[in-house]
Amino acid sequence: MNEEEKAQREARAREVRHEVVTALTNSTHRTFAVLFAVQWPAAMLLAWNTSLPGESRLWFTLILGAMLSVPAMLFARAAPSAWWVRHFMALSQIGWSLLFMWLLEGRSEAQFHLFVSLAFIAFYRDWAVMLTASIAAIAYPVARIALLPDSFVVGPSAFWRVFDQGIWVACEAALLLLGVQQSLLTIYNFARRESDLRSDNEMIKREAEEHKQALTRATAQHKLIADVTHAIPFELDLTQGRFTYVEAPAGMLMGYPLARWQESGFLDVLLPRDREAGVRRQFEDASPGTFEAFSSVVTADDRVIELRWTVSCEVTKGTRYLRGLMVDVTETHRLVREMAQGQKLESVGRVAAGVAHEINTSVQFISDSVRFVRHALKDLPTAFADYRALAAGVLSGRDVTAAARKAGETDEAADVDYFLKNAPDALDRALDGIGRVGSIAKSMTEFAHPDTQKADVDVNRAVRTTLNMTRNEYKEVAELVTDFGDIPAVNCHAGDINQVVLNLVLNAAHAIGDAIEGKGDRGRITVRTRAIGDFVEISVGDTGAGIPESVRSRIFEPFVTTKEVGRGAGQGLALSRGIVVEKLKGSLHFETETGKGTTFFIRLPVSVTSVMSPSTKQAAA
Amino acid sequence: MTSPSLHVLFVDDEQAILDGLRNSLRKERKRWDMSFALGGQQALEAMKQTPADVVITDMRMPGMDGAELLRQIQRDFPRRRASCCPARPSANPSCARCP
Repeated sequence: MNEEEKAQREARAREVRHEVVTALTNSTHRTFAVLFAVQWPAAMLLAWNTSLPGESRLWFTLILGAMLSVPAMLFARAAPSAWWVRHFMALSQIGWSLLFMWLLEGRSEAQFHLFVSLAFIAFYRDWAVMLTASIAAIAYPVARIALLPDSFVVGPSAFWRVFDQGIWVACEAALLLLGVQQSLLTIYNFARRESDLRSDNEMIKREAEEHKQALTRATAQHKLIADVTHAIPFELDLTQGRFTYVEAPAGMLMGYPLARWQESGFLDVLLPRDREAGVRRQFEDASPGTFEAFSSVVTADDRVIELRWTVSCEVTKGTRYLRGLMVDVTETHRLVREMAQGQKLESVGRVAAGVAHEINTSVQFISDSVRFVRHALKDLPTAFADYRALAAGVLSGRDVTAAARKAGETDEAADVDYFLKNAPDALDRALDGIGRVGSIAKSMTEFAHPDTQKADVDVNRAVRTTLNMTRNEYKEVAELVTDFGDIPAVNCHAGDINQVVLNLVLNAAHAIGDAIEGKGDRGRITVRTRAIGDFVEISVGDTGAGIPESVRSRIFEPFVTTKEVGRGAGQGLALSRGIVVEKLKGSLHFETETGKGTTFFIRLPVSVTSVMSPSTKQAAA
Repeated sequence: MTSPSLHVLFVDDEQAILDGLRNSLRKERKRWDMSFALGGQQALEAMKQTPADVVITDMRMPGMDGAELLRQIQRDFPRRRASCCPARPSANPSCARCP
């Protein structure tokens, strides 16, 4: 508690004390009003009773009574709190006691009236008033002895009478003073307590108000956050499979009235065990802490939406609670898918020129070879005809010298030797070229085909396909070394592997291209696959300059690139990591050494259901 | 029979292309002397042995690309009026002429 607070409490205590004392004063004023009203007729009665003939005792009593009552009452009404009013009141009451003593002619009963008067005066809880009254009470017998020594009827002597009365009054006054003092102390304590209580009460009220305001603010912020992010807070009782709390938008989003969410087993409606086994397992296996889960939900009107659950798990008294937020990510996921598809198409675009070149090369030598054969076939029949004529001449026994010469010339002109020697090769080459075109077309189809369903993918085949597609991008700058290991299949979309390997190979080719710029030699791209425990690892290594220290930690962030403008937007690695980590549930990391090169490692978890890939089987056989 | 007046050197990094060319240009053998080199390095060696009048090369080749090859030919055989043209139309649409 600080000084200011203390002073405030002190001031409040004084205030309370003042309130209490004022209340006491007023009630005591009222008490005296009643006393005066009772004493006056009583005194009149007494005066009438004891009145001796010829005495004007009755009148005296009437007038004195009025003097003792009326001014005091008027003052009390006019200035109830003034200190002198209390004194005046006390003196008036003492006056009444003296009047009664006079009327009772000093009998000892009259003494009691005085004592009672003092007691009533003590009601004011004012020691000054007590003192005034006591002095007045003692002053009276003194004055009486001094002024009317004969008025004492009984008793040993005047001195003793005064002494006797004085002692008793003094004793009572002392006791009453003590009582007043204690009473005041009680009032002070009460005032302090009351002050504390009031202060505490105010403090509590203030704090309650602050809390209320904070709550209002928090509610507003909460609503804002929920409105902006469309996040829906919920509390899920996992033991009963019901939502103990869910915010209203959940009802609107999914079409189930809020009351249904609260029903036991609603979780089975929202996330049926058979359809959403993954997320259900994630929920049930949750240990205290926060995690994220994704699920599809079929709404009441049969739409399918995707939800992201940010969940914090808590176990209270044996009941497992999941609390958190659910967010409709249908649109986000659609955009992400579109973006991934876009990047895929972009990758295809990046290799399209190379693929076209590849096809063109093959087409050129195919057409050259076919044209060669076709051209030769135009001349061959002439040569053949000449030989036939020669043969016919020989058979008929004619002179064939001219025919033989002609046949020789035609043979020469038709270049028959060359044709016979080269035609098989030319046709083989054409067939080979057709094979190459066919294979690249197939790769292109495999590469760009949108995968709709996961399958057990032969990773080696996928990597080969991609290398086939990208051959033209690296062959000028690097030789390719491949080392395909015996690896199990991976359950995934082949397109994802293709895309990631494509990005890595293109990056490797670019890295080498930059490193050998103007040197006239070639680098090396090493592509390996191997099995490590429950993982399949694909590594793509280059002999480029390595990743500069400054970007190593950010290399997987979008828009981070070491390439010059126009050669890549820095999306390849970011998306590759996204694909590997989020879709394939694997990991992507790299090792790099300045001046030596970089190797990227893709690790993919082997699916439980996977079987030996066909190529591996062949290799094994 | 007149001996060919022009010696043409074809350069490509793809053996199949060279073989195809050799066959399809066979009929021109009376007019041109033709030789074929697999890549820039071989082309330079061929030039040292029998300098060609015309060099037709692929521009995109591993190791030494077409431009580099032509630069070197220009440097080593300045008196040759060596022209060049991409061996494959799709590889590089621009037809570079040696200085």
